[in-house]
Amino acid sequence: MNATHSPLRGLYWKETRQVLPLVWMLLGVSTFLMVAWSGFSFTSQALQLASEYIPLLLPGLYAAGVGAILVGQEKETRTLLWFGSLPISPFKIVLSKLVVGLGGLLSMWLCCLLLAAVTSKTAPQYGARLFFEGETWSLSLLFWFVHSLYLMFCGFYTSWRLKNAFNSLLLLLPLATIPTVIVQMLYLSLHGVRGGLISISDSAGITIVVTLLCTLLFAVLGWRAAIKSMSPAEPEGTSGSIAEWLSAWRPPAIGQNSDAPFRYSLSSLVWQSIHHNRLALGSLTLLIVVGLVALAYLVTNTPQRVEKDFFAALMSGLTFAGMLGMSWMGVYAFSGDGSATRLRFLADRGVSPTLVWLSRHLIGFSAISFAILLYGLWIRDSNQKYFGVYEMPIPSVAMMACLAWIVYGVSQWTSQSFRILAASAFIAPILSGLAIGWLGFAAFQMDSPFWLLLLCGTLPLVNTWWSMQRYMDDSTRWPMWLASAVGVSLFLLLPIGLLAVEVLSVSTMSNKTRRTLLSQANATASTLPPAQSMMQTRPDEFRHYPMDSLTGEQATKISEQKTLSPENHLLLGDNSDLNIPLAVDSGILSTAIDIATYLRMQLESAPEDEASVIALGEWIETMTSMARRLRLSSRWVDQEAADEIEIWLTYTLSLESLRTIRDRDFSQAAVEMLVDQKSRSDARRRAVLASWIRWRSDDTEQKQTLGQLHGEFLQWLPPIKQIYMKPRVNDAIVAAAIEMIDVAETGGSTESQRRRLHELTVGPTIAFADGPYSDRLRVGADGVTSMEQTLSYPANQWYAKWESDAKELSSLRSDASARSESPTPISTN
Amino acid sequence: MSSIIHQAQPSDSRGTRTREISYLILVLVPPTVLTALLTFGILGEWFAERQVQQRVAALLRDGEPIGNASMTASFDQSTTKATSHGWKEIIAAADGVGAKFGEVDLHLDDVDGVVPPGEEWIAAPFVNAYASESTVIVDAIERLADSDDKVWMPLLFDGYQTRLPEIQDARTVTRLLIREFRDAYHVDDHRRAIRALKLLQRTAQAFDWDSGLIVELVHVAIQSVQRGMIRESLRHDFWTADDLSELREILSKKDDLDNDWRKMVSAERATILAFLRIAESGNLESGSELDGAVVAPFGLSPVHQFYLLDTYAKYQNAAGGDEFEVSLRLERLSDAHQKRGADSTLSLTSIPFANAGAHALNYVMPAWQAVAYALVRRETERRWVLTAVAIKQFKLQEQRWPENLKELTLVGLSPADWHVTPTETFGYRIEQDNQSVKLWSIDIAKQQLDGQLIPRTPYSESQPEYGSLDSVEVQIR
Repeated sequence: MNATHSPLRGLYWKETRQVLPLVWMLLGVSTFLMVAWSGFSFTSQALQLASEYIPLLLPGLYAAGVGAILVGQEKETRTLLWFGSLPISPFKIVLSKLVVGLGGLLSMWLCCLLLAAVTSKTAPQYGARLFFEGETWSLSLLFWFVHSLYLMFCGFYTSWRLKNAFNSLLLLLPLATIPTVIVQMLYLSLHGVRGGLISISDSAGITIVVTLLCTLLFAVLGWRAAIKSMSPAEPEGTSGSIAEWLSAWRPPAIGQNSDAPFRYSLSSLVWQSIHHNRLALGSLTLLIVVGLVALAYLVTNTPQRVEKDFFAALMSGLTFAGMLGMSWMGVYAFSGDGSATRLRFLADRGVSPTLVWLSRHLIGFSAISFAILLYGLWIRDSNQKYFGVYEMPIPSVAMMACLAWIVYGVSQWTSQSFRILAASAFIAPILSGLAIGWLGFAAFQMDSPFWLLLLCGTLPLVNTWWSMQRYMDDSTRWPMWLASAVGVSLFLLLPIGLLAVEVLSVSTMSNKTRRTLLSQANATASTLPPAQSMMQTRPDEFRHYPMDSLTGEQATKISEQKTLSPENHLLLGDNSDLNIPLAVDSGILSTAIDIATYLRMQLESAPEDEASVIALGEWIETMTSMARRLRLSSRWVDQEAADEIEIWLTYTLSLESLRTIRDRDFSQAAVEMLVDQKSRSDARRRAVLASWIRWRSDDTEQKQTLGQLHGEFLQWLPPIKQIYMKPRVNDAIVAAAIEMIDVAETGGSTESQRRRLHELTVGPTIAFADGPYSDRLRVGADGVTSMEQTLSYPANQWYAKWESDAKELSSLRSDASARSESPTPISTN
Repeated sequence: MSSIIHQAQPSDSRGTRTREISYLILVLVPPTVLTALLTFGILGEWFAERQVQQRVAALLRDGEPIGNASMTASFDQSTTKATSHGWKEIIAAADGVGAKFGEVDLHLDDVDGVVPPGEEWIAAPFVNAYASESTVIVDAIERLADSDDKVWMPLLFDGYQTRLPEIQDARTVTRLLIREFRDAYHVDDHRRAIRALKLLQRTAQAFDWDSGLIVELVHVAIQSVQRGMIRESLRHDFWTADDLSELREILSKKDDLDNDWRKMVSAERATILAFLRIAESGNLESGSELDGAVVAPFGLSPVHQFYLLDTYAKYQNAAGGDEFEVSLRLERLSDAHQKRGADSTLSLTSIPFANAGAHALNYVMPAWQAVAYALVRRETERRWVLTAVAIKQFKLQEQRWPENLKELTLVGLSPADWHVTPTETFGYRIEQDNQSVKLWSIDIAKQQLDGQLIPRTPYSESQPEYGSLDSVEVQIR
């Protein structure tokens, strides 16, 4: 302090310096959370909504921690006593702490609003709509502001009132809920328990008033406690009773040394852990036990249908408190007697760091284990009672142990790393939640194996054990920070690393193939025909009938008018223009094949009937032009649709019973198309490459599938794995398909390509021999196909037996056209 | 090291020793007990894994399907490809002819009536046109009717993702045959009417795959449609003595409940085994999603796998005896399941859920009781319609209505046919004008399967507001 300045300025300067670490820490954590959240939350809308509350952490946590920093910490370091001895009035000291606290709170609110504004501008989906949208935003903001004010005064009160900083934080927990509890009790007393609870948004107005009243109350109580605490202490033993007077003369008891040391160092250290702060330890144990029993109750009962159910809300609150207790138990390990300054005493005297580390944790392990055992007993008992009634999945004992392992581990690491209790006590639960969220994300979305998650969950404990020597020595901190940085990196990178290894191990196309195919694809792109038209059905032209109640005659007349000719059912654009590509609609394609099959059946029953010949002929002609136009399409799936039509045409024209129609023009046109293997292969190659290029350049969120209508592959994998594997798998599919065309054109067997396609597109539970690429489901002479499968699996009917049957139709061609066609080798394997 | 902690020599006093031990107990016992419990849980999982392997091996020995591969093999073995193309063509053509008539029938009143010859029927011209256009398809079905085999179709077995489009499409064929029957009945063409009924049966039979519950229920639905039409046709004096003999023959074939039930449960079990990747792939690495909820991201633990196999085995073994016995057994099974509790299904070490097995079953296990009811109804309806046909036969043969059902022995019916249960018969009464009789059956949807099953008086009198009278009561003329 500079004597030329007012001592008060120095006081304010000191208090501000004291608060700054908390401010920086909270700013850092909030920013980290916002960044982490934007990485996570695209998987869930609930997570996106939750991100609105992140900026609120700044003023909220500051308000809860500032009292402990400005008062509690000074009590622990005993600097407050020294302050009391200075010639400054207690009033000024207390006021300076309060003013700095309030100033800090206002700055945190400014930071909060700034953070919310920035994020709502830069990433609206994660931004804080809470503040800037909706009609009730101002009320909501006021509510949070008043509550933070209340929390700060409570914090000051508990810090002034209690000697131990940890206890004052524990007491803050129930105090924080007082305004809400008062409002709920008021509501319950008016509406009874059955009326349920009132939501915070419905009761914001009244809650603000109640909170303000409570703030006033705790401001007064806090002030009194502060003044009392800063005033000279009353001398002990001034009651003047005889017993008190006599006790000074009583000789010390012999042989009753209750603090007699134990045989094992461990038990001594444990004794110290317990007796250092029995109140905190007892409260935390109680919180954990009650929390886990409440969770056991929640998961073994039928989910409450009433959202605002009183009991369910109470149990959920207790469960949350239990989790908080578990986290604080971790913080407790390295606070108070576990803090670096206290442990230095042991370090100076050569006590093993491992032993100290173990003794700091054993009591926490014991309390948590006890609570988990109770949880296990409860769910076992309840399960027998309620089985068949409940629908809730029940976390197992091992699951609870894993959760506790992570929460406790991360919290004790936080406590060792952030040595300010007021900061670590609030940051630890957040980091624990984040750790669980990350590991859960890794399990559910990235398919990380359990052993890896367990390893990650153990890292924080290993980290503190490794750092224990330095921590006890209270030596240079950078090696500890380095170790922590390595630990955190491993925690985050191990699941990512394994995923990366798995993704990279998926076969894909070689770089050389990629370069070749890309240049081919780019060359093809310029030759692609104009935009395709979609298949459509012809709208019903009989709408003028009163369709709600037809007479039999009307119905018959409609049916008679609606003949089965193609133009009555299909709209294919300008059908005569064979240069316009067509895009398939599976329903319309199916109807076309169904009608044509019916007419084929009609003709088979009366082969000489000219009307039937013409009716079927129209469809053969239409389907031939459909197939030709589908082949022109740059969508891969349209090639499968063309296959489906060509399979039907091949079978129809191969039928001996229909040989009379083979010479007709429509049949010849169809045969012309069917025997042209080279065009078919060229069309396939062009469509595969065009689809591939399109998929690669499509950066929209609703990215189409590779072939645009094929099924979604990799569905058997978790989402994140799918996202990263898809580009490689799609490349591999393209490579296999192009290779299949090349191999088939030189007459080779396509089995190895089909096996590869099976591995890439069919789930792991189906064997190749049973799958869509096997001979079992590829079409042979009988033409039995499943259109759904043909359109779902890329290239699944390519070069199957039907194609060699199609080629054999060349014998049906009239001489002129037969001469112009040169045979092309083709594989049917 | 410990010299500082032990500032004084350790005290030998018993009190201090006891206090020291109690502190150590306090911190060491709960973690030790928890560790022991988890170790016990892991041992339990190990033991359960052995049991699962034994069960799966036993299933394999018995030739039961345990996944996609064995479902495929079993399907391919039990079906024939000889008629595949024929049926595929029939299904397509039935859809094709449907395209001609579009959705007109949806707007036409009384299109589903069974109207006797000579009686005015608003939908008659339409149904007649439909039937006439479908002749070629009905002929094609008849050509395939010689074979009793089930038809092979290109099915891709993939757990719960298995698609059965042909089963859905078979309904189009059924609708076509129903129209054929109604038209034939209205135009007094007995041969076509009987043929349509027979072909319905044949269609049901061709697609009676052992592929699980859906297929079985579709099969039951087609049978029910056929029997319903016969029942309705008896309301009018239509059938000749020869026709009635043919109807008796159609109705005489009893379904093999034991076989159907076992195969149905077996196929459902194979589907869930494939879905959860338990038996064939032996691969539990990936998350299995049920209705969007991930139950077991690390795979279903062996304890739950065994629970699942065990539960399916119990339901499969509920077969044996008649439909009522199966149904009662299932009722008892599900009661016991609830009352006894299922503590064995709680796993200590399954991550994340202790009851993942039961929870998974909640999603996928069919309501077996309801399925059993459907099978009870199928068999009861068969006997009921058979008895109704026999009553009509009796009338033609004896020129009078039977006084009671026992007289039906004169037309070759056996007592078992008119009994609902070993002790109860269908309700029967000759109407006062002596022109018709009433025969009523059990209302399975509304009654418990114990106590008095058949009311003494017809439903139409005791419960005038009765909703689905047609399904429980018939008036024969």
